[in-house]
Amino acid sequence: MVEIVLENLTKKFGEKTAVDNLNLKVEDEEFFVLLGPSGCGKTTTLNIIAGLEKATTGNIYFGTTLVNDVPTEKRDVAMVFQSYALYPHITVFDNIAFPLKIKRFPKSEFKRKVKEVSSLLRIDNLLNRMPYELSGGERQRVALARAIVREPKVFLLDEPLSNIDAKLRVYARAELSKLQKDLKITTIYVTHDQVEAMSMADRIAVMCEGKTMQVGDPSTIFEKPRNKFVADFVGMPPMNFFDCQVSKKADGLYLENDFMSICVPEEIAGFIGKHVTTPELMLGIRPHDMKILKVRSSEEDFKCKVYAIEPLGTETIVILEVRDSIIKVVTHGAPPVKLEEEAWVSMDKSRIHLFDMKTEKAIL
Amino acid sequence: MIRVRKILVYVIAIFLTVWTLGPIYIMFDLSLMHSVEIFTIPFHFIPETPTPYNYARIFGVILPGRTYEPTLSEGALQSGFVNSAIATVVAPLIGITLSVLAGYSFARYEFKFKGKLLIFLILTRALPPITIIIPFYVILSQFNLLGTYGGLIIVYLSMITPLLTWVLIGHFATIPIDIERAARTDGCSRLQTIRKVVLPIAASGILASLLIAAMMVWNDFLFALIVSGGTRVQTLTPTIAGLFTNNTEYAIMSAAAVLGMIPTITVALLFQKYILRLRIVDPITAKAP
Repeated sequence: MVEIVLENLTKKFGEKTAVDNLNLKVEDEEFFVLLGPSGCGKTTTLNIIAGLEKATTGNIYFGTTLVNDVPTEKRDVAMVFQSYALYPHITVFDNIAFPLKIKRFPKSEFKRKVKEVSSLLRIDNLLNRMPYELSGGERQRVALARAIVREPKVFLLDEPLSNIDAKLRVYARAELSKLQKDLKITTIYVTHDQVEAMSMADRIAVMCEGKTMQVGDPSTIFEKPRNKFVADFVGMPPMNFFDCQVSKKADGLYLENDFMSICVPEEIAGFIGKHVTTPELMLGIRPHDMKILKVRSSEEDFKCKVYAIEPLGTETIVILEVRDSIIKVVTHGAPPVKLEEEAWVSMDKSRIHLFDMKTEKAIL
Repeated sequence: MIRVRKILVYVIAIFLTVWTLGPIYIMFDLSLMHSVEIFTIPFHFIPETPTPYNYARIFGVILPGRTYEPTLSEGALQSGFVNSAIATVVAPLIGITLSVLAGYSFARYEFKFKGKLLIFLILTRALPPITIIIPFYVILSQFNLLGTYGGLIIVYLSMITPLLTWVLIGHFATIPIDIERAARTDGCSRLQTIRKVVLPIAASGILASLLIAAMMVWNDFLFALIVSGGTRVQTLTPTIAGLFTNNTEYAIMSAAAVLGMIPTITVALLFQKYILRLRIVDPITAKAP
């Protein structure tokens, strides 16, 4: 039950900078997710918060206490690893009781607590088994039980759901979320799966190459990505991007490239006029914000060729080719076109994102 | 074709078995014979008049109906056993303590000169023992350690510690580091982590290494000869070799050798499960972060 502040945190491994001047504040009781691709520094950051690695420069505060030099065992953090890291030489019961035994809880006390936690996670029938006898899902719950039983100040979770099969994962996500809300413990969760992040987080920090790209709650990150990386990383299927030019015409501002020409709505036109310095921009639009039509509905629609179709049941991902680009559009139910056919694509203009070509920062 | 291969495999297997176990069996055979029977032709693969006489001689037991024939070997054999036992118990125990500490440090810590120290460690195994016995002799003699238990133990420590460390580095490295990290976040200090988590997990590997080291010490002849030969701390191996005199009593020698083999064979049979599980992992590459 504590807030965590990372101040100018940097970690270098020799020449390589894994964490680059990170500044984050995790609120008390918050479910905070570090989201990013492999190698972006999220696990390293977590290890530094746990005390398993020492930062090269920077400060970490638990509440108002500087914990840079506090050894791991005194930080009162509980960590769940991707590999679960159960102690293979002792029973499930002893695994869960381990942190309590280290703290010298009396036997009757820790026995009670272990039983409590294991019935909460529904593993009370497994207490006498050895870790190698358990399935992946069962091991994960034992790892969680071991973390919960101590009621630590902070939960640190490092991709704990990666090794669970897809179907069970959906269920486990909900359970974890609920658990955290009930226990009210500050939680930092590391993952590369943006679906996990979006569904569980109070706030997300999207990371890339050791830096934060954007920090915010899931809907802000989704609706208002601050740069191309965030826009591309969050959202499934990922956003489509087109290079285009801004051109001023008699009846307004247009975004054009060699296959499309879109008239910019008034509100946006004014904004672009003020903030845009170069005529080249990148336009981003999500697959859900586009439509496939058999017949052209407006001048702004553009023609593509159907490259592939992925039926997912309630939705279908249609992959289309236009000039040299591939775009993806999601339709509800079956699309009105077939493979190799030509189709018209239209965009919802209120949902477009614009990015500067050079800095990749969002303008809109 | 497959049948021919199968037969061939069996033939080779039988050949290798006979080649390896044959001499051991023959020693056992000879040990149960009277000296006279040894030289009969054709050779008796099974003693026609088996006798415990040789063993009795070794243990100084006088059998009824036999006169006691003194050989210079008897008391010496017993003391040889005792001295070997002392070296075999003390040296590996000290060695394993040092190696566990060193091995863990190499496996989990980064420090200056680590790479060079590792190479240095393996180089000590690269030298044929015979090349260093003279320097050893000179050094031990300077410190008046020849013919002492101390000298023996020092020499054996130098023999087994590098090997033990090397094996243990690999062994510790196979323990997933997340388990140690879990112990740290669960509240264990570094030392507690080693005591409560690392050592129990590594226990069987440590035990197997200990046994291998012990067998090396028990079976050693060269260093034993140099350091303890002809002294009151002479170990078993030179003692048995010393039975090769003008009047060689092969029967007694065989009995002594059989007795000498019993500890190692017993240990190997009892603990083969652990010893075979020990994998030699290259410490330089198999590093944990």
